[in-house]
Amino acid sequence: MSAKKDLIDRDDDDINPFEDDSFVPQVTPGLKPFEPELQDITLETTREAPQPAITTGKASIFSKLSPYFQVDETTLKQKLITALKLGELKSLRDPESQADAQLDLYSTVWITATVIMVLFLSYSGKSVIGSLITNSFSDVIDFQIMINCLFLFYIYVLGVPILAFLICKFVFKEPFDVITAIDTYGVSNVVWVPIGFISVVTGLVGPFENIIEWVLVAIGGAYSGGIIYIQLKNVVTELQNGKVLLLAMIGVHILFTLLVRWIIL
Amino acid sequence: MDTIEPDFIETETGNGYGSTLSTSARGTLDESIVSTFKRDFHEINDKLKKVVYPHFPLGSPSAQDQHVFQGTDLWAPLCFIILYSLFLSKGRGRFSSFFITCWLVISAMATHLKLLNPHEPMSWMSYLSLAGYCMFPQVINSLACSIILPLFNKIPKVTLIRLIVIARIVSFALCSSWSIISMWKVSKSQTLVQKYPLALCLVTLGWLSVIC
Repeated sequence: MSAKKDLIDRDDDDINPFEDDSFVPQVTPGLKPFEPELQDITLETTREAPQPAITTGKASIFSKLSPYFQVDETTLKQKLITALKLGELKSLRDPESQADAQLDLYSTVWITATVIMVLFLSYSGKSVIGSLITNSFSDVIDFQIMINCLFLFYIYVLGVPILAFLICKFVFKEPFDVITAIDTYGVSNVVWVPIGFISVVTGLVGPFENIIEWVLVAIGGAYSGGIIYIQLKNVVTELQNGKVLLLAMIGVHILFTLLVRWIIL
Repeated sequence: MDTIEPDFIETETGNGYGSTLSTSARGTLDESIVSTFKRDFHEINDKLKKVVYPHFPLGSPSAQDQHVFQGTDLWAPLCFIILYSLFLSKGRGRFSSFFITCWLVISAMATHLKLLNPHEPMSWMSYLSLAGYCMFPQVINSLACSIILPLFNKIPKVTLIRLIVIARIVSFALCSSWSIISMWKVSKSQTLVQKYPLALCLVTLGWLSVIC
């Protein structure tokens, strides 16, 4: 045993069974040696309710994203009405703080989800109405269409602004307001909600069904394109290569409109 | 030694609501499988009473109930989603689509609630568990729409398709309202901003029962 260890043992009055070779445990008959006293220990046998995980990484992600989802009901209504009236959303900006109170991701996420649901409802609703009229089960509804629709809308709403941002950053070397663009693309989709509901009844029109659906899609595409143009024209025209970007965005929007027609409406 | 010692000593906590909180107590090795299943079933039933059973939406959740809602039990949601997917797929190879869609939908609901209440004591998993429990009315809806109502179509010489479709729509409306109100209550949603996404998600799940 080293001298240092001996010094430590000398300072300690208690016998250290791990260091002192002469230590012999005293066993009382009828009792197990070294039996732990369980009665004083609180056993963690129940699944405790999770504590507020403010310091964890997951909570910090929610905390970081949370401000974009904290939306005021009145502001949201004003925002949708302004967009539908083809007004500029920047007019809703707080005049004192110049803060973009209307900027959020809540509307993008949930308006897009609403549009997907309404379009699927209109697609499947035609079969349900058909069953009621003809008293026979109509065509089998393809559930896959809802998933295709989901991918189409979310890729368009998130993909185009992010792609534009990346092109501006790495090719044009210019700044691009990606959050405003995502917000605008999300809000522009609100146009598809009434169109989805109207298209439910197109199944009743008979031979004109196809023409009416093309007209509805054209109106939806033009209206949503108009909303995007009005909101983003200032952002895009400020760029040196803004015209190229604008033309690309218009082209992608036309393609998106055609895909809506072919996939779901 | 021939005997297997239990993992821990389980203390008896006799609250009037069963042992919903002691979900992890299923770790005992010295009990039969039947006992474990019985206990799990009673725990799920106890929580269902607080979350979705009809008496609950009429009242308000108490502080004790709120403690139960913080549990992260995923057994019941898994069972409900499996049942829902089985009823809707009816062996036509679409089980996985419904299964994944259900998990995505309840995950979206949990994420929405966590994003709106980031500093609440409820974790994302607790919200996921709650959303899963609120799936229960949708399981009944899928059972009614996909299994029970089509049986009436097999009655010979009678065509009841119109009635079946209308009954499906009624079942969808009732069960969706039930699950939506339950979800609003347990998540303490007050504003339209909080309520709307939850309703949208549950209506989507309910509508699938009508059309599939």
